[in-house]
Amino acid sequence: MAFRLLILILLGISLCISGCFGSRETDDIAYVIAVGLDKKGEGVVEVTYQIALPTAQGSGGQGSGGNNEKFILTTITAANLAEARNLLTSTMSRFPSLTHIKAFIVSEEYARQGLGDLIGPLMRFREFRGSIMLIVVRDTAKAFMTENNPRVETQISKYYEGALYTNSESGFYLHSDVHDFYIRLKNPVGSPYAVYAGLNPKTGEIHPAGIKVPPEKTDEYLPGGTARSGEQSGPEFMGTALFRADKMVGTLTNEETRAVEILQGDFTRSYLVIEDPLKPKSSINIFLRLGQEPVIKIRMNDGKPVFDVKVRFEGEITSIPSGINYEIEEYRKLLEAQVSLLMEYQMRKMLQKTQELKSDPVGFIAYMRPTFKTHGDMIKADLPEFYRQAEINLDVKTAIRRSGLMWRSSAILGRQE
Amino acid sequence: MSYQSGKMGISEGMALVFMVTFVPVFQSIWSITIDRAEGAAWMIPVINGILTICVFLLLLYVMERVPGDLIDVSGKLLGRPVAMLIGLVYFAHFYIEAALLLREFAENTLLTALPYLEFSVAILFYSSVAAVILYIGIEPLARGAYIVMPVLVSGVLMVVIFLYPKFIFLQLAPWQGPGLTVVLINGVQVSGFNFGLLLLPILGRSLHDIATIRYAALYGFGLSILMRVVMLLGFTLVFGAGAGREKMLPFFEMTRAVYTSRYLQRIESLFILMWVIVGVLAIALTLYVSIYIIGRMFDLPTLRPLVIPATLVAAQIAMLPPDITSVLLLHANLITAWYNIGAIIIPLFIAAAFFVRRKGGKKTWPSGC
Amino acid sequence: MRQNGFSQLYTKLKDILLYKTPTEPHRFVLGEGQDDTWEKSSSSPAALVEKQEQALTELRSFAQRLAAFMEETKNTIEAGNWKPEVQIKYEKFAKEFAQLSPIGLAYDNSQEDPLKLTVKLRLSENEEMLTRIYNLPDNKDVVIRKFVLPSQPETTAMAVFLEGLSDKKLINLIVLAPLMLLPREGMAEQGKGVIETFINTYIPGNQVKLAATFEEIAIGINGGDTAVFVDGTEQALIIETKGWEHRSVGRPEIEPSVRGSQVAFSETMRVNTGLIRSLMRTSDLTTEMLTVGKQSKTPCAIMYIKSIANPKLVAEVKRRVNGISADYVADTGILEQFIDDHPNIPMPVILSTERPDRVVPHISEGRVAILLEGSPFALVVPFSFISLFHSIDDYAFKPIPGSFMRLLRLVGFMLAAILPSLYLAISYFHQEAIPTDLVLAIAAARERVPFPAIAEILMMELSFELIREAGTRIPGMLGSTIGIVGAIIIGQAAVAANIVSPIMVVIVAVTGLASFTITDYRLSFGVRLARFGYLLLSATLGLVCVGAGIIVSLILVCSMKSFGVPYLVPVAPKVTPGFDVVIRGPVYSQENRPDEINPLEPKRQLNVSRRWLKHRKDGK
Repeated sequence: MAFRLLILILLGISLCISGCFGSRETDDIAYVIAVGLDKKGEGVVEVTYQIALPTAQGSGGQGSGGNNEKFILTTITAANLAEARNLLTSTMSRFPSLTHIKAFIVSEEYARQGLGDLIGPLMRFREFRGSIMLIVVRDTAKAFMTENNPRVETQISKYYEGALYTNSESGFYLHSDVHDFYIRLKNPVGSPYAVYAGLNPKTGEIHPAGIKVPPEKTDEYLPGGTARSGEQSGPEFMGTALFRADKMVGTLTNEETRAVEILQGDFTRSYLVIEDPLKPKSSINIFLRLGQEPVIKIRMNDGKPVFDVKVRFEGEITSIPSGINYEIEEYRKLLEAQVSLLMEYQMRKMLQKTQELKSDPVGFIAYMRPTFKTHGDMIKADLPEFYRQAEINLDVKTAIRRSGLMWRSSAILGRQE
Repeated sequence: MSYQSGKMGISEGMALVFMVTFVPVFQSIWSITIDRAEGAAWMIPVINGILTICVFLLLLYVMERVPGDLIDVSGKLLGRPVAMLIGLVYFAHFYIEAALLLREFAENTLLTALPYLEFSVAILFYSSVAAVILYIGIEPLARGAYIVMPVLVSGVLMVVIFLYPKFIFLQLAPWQGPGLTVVLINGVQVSGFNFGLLLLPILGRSLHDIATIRYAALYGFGLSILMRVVMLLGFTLVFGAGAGREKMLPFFEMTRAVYTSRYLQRIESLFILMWVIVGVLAIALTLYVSIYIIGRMFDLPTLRPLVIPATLVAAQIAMLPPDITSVLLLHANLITAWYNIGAIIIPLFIAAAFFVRRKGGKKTWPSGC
Repeated sequence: MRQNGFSQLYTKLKDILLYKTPTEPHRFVLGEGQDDTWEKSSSSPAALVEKQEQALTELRSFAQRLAAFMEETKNTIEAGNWKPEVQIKYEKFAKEFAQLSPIGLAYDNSQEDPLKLTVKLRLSENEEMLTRIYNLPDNKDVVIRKFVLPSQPETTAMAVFLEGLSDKKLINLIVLAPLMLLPREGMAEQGKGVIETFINTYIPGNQVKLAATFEEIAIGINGGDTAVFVDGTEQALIIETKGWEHRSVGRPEIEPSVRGSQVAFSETMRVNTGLIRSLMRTSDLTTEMLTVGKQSKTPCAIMYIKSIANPKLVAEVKRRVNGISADYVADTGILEQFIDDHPNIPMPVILSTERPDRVVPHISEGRVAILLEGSPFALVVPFSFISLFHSIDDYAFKPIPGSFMRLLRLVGFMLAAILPSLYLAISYFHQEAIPTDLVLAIAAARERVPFPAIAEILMMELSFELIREAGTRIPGMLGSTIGIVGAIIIGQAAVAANIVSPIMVVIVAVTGLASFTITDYRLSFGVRLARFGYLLLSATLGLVCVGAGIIVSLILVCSMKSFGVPYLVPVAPKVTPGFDVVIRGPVYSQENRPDEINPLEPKRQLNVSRRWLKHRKDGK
C-alpha cells in the first residue's frame, strides 16, 4: 500500500515539475482578428496585424468610436509570415493567438504575383483554419485596414463575420473563404476566386466600371467606384477577383458577380432595377429570387463540352413609378421577358469574360468530371482549356408572382407628364 | 463451445469490436486511402469489410463444429506447436498495434490539442491511463465502451451533417476512381484493417457462446463499416482527393471545417474529448488482448502482474520511430502486408485444415483442451 | 474549638498578608490499570472462597427448609388431615433437590456469566441472579415488583421491568392487575401448569412467551418487556410491554416531493414496518428479525415478498448482516458501510430512503428492505445507478413530464460534475472553441483579476462548499437566509472587489444548482469529489485529461456491483430495460419486473392493464 502511494506521489511530482504544458490564461493572450499582406519587393512582405482590445467589452457602454478603443494595428516588414509573427511577439507583452483570425486581406499586387506560396502551405499550421475570409483589395492591405473603422459594430471581429454573410442580401460579392480557395487550388472543381474589396474615396464622384446597356438601369461598379460620402468608413466589398491556378488574372464587377452567384445556385435575393418596357425613361424595381436551383447538363460534342443551363427566376414587384398596371397578365409577360433578357445578358457577359480568362468561378469544370472514366484521365486533361472552348446555352425564364401590398396603381391627380 | 461460458454478452462484444475497428477513423491512414482510390475511396471499407466478414463467418462455421476458443481450435486441428505459433502471431499483431496507437495518439495530441506538451509526458499519460483501465478489468472496459458507443456514433454523424454546406457532390465523380480493378485490389490489400475482428474468437472464453460472437461481429463490425463509409464520404465530399491526400488528421480537419454560423464554429476542441476516449479504450483493449493471449498460451492463473511490464515495453516501442512520417508509412505497410495474415490468411488456413481433416475421417472433436 | 474574636482576627490577617501557594483543584487523570491491562477479578482466590461460601449457604438454607417441611408433614400425617398442597409442596422440594445436586451446583458456581443460567425454582435465587446481571442496587432503572398471587397456598411472584423503556400503564393493566386480582378459586395447581394457565386464561397481553434461560429474559427486559417470575416454577413469563417515548411519524425532511405521500419513517422499527405493511397488504410480505451489534443487540428487520424475491438474494443479505461483528451499529448508514461491496468508492450502492412509498415499489419488484431500530432510514438492496435519479414524482405524473424531469436530473448530474473543468480546460488550452465576442468579454473581465483562473475557481468552489455546510448546521430559520445572504453577497462583493470574474460566479452558481438536483445525498458527495478531481485534471492537461478522467471513472463505475447486480444495469450489461430507465414509459406499459434482480415472477401486469379500454359486446 505504501509502495503504491509512493509511486503515485512520484508520478504526480513528475507531472507537476514538467511545467504547465502550455496553459495560457485568457488575459495573457492578444487576439489577432485580421491579417493584411502586402508585397514589398522580392522576398519581403509587409504584414499588418489587427489586434482586438478587450477592454472595449468588459465595462459595458464606456465609450465607443475611434480606433483606439476597439483595436490596434501593427505593421511589420519581414521575410515571410512566420518571421513576422516572431517579431510580433517582441512588440507586445502578450502571446499572440492567431486562432481567432477572421479575415486575410491581400493586396491585388500580391495576388497577381501568385498566392500559391502563401495559401498552399498555410493549412499546415494548426492555428489557421478554413473558415477565414479571403479578401483581395485594390490598394494596399495596410491602407484598407487603417481606414476600416466601422462605427456600427462594437467589435471588429463581428464586422468581418457579418461581412462574410451579408452578401446574401444583394449578391454583389461572393462568400469566399480560405477553405473554398484551397479546395479549388488542389482539386479540379473550378477556379479559385476571392472577394474583391477596396477603399472608397468618399468624394461623391461616380466611377462606373462599364457602360449601361438597355434594359439596364443601374451602373456596375468595381470597389471604390460608387459615389458615396458620409460617416460610414471607406472599405467596400464589391466584385470578385478571378484566379487561374494561383495567380489573379482579372476581376468581375458586382453585376457579373451576381450572375456567378445565380449560376452557382447560392443566389438568395436581390433588388433589381430595370427599365420600364413601355416607358423606357422610368424604372421598375423587382425583388428577385431563384425559383429553383439552376440545372446544368453537359454533353460532349466531339471533344468539346456543351452545357445546357436552365435558370428560373421568381420576382416580386416592389415599385412601379409609371403606374402602368403590370400586375395583369399581358403586361406582366412583357415585364418577365424584360427581366429574363437583362439577366441573360448579364450572365452571358460574365461567361464571355471568364471563358476568355480561362477562369471558371461557377464550377462548370466539376460538371465535366463524370464524363471521364478514371481519375487519372481527368487529371491528365486540361480542364480550363475545355472550359474555354465550351459552348454554354442559357435558358432563362422569369415568373413574377407577387406585387407587394398594392395590386394596381391609381393615377396621381393633377400630375403633369 | 467451452464448458465454462463467460460473462460478456452481445452488447459487450459488439462494443469491443467496434472500438478496435473504428479507431482508425481518427488516424491518418485515410489520406493514403484517398490518394490511391481517389473519388471511390468510400468503396474501400465496404470491400475489405465484406471480405473480412465472409472469412470470419467461415471461421465461425468451423468453430461451431470444433469446441473451444481460437487457440483451442487451432490446437485441435493443426497441432499444438502450430497453435502456439498462431497465438504468437496474433500477439504480435495486437501488441504492435497497441504500440503504434500509443505513438499516434500521443503525436495527435501534440499536434491538435496541446501543442506545447512534452512528447514523453504524452506517452506516459496515455500508457498510464491504459494501465489503470486494464487493472480494473475487461468486463467494465467492455461495458464502458458500450455506453460510450452511441455518443461516438452520433458525434461523427453530427460532424458530417454540419459539414453539409461545404459538400461538393461532384467530387465523387468519376465514380470509378482510378478504375474498378485498382480499387478492388486496394480494398483487398488493406483488409488488414479489420484484424481486430478476430479478438472475438480469441476472447472466446469470456463470451457466452458462438451465437454471441456471430451477432456481436455482425452488429459491431457492420456498424463500424457504416461509420467508416460515412466518414470517408464526408471527407471526400468536403476535401476531395487533391487536398485530402495531404491531410495528416482527416477527422480533425473535418471538425475544423465546420462553420454553420457565428456561434457554431471552431468546435474541434470539443471533439478532443471524443477521440481521447476512443484512443484510450483502443489502446487498453489491444494491450489486454495481447496480454490475454500470453496468459492463455502459457496457462497463467492471472493477468494483473503482466499489465505494468507490458505497458512499459509498449511505451518504449512506441517511442522508437524517429519521426511521424515513418510511423505513418510503417503503419500503412503493416496494414497492407502483415495484418492481412491475421485477418484473412490464418482463418482461411484453419478452415482449410478443418475441411481437409473432416474429409479424412474425423467427424467430431472432443471438447476441452 | 471555637476561636475567640482576637484569634479570628489574627487568622484573617494572616490569611491576607502571608503568601500561600495557590491550591489547584486536584486534576482528574483517567489512567490505565496497574499492569496496563485490566484483569478479570474472578480468578483470584478470594472470589473462589466467596463462591464456595455461597454454595454452602444455599445448601444449608435448603437443608433447613427441608427439615421444616418434613416436620410439618409429620405433624399433618399424625393429625390425620391430608391436604393436597402437601403433595405439591413435596414435589417442589423434590425438584429443588434435583437442582441442588452437586454437579448442578458446581456448574452454576463456576459459571461466570449469569446469562447462561436457567431460571431457578426459588424466587430469591432468581432475584440474586438478576442482581448480578443488572448491577443492582446501583442500577436504578430496573424495577422489581414483588407481589403475592392469590392462590392456595400463597405463592410469591415478582415482575421485573425497565423503567423508561416499558409502558407503565400497560404493566399495571395487563401484568399486575390480572395477577393480583385473580379470583381465588381458579388457582389450584402449582408447577408447570401455573404458567400455562396464566398465559391461556389470565394475562390479557397480546404477546406472551415463556423463557427458561436468563439470556432470553435479559433480552426481553432490555427490550422493554416485563418478566414475571413465580416461586416454584422453572420458567418465567415474558410479556410484551414496550412503550418508550418516540417521535411521531413526520414529514420527509430530505426527500420532499411535490405529489406523493408526505409520510416518513420514524426511529421505531415497529412503526416503520407498520408503515410498509400498510402500503403492501399481501400475506407474502415476510419480515425476518436479526440482531446487529454485540453490545447493543439492536434489532434489525429484513422485509421481502417471498413469492417474488430471489431466495439467493435474501440468503446473501442475511449472511452479510449476520456476519457483522461490531459493538454498536448506530445507524443504517453504518450498517450500509458494513455490508457494502465497494466501501472505498464514494458512490452509493444501496438505496437509503426515509419514505415508505419509495421502499414499497422496490419491494414489490423483488428487492429486499432492511430496517434498523433507531434509524429513520431504510435500506433497499440490490440497487442500480439509474434508480438514484428516480423519485416518486416521476411516477405520479404522466410519462412526458416524468421523463422530462428525469432527463433534467441527468443533465444536472453531468453538469455538476464536469462544467467547471470544461470551462477551465477551454479557457486555458483551447481558447479557439469560444466565440470571439465571448472570449474578448472573458478576457476583459479577467483583466482586473489578479489570480489565475484555477485559483479563482478553487476559491469559489471552496466558499460554496462552506456555505453549503454552514447551511446544514445552522438551526431553524436562519439556515436558508444565511445561505442566500452568503451566496449573493459573497459573490457580488467578490466581483466588485475584483477577486473573481463574473463569469466564474455564474459557472459556480450553475454548478451548485445542478448539484442540488441530484436526489440522493450521498451521490452528491461523490459528484463533488469527482468535480474537484476533474478540476485538477483539467488544469494540468486540458480536455485530454478530462476525457481520460471521464472514461476511467466510467469504467470504474461499470466495475461496481451491488449485491451481485452490476451497478450500471440495464445499460451495461444489457438486459431488458423495462421502459423505466431514463425515459419513463406509461404506467400501463410496465409489464415486467426488472430483469437484473432475477425475481421469481417476471411479469407483474397483464399486457393490457387497462381493462376498461376493451369494448364489451353490449356497449357498456
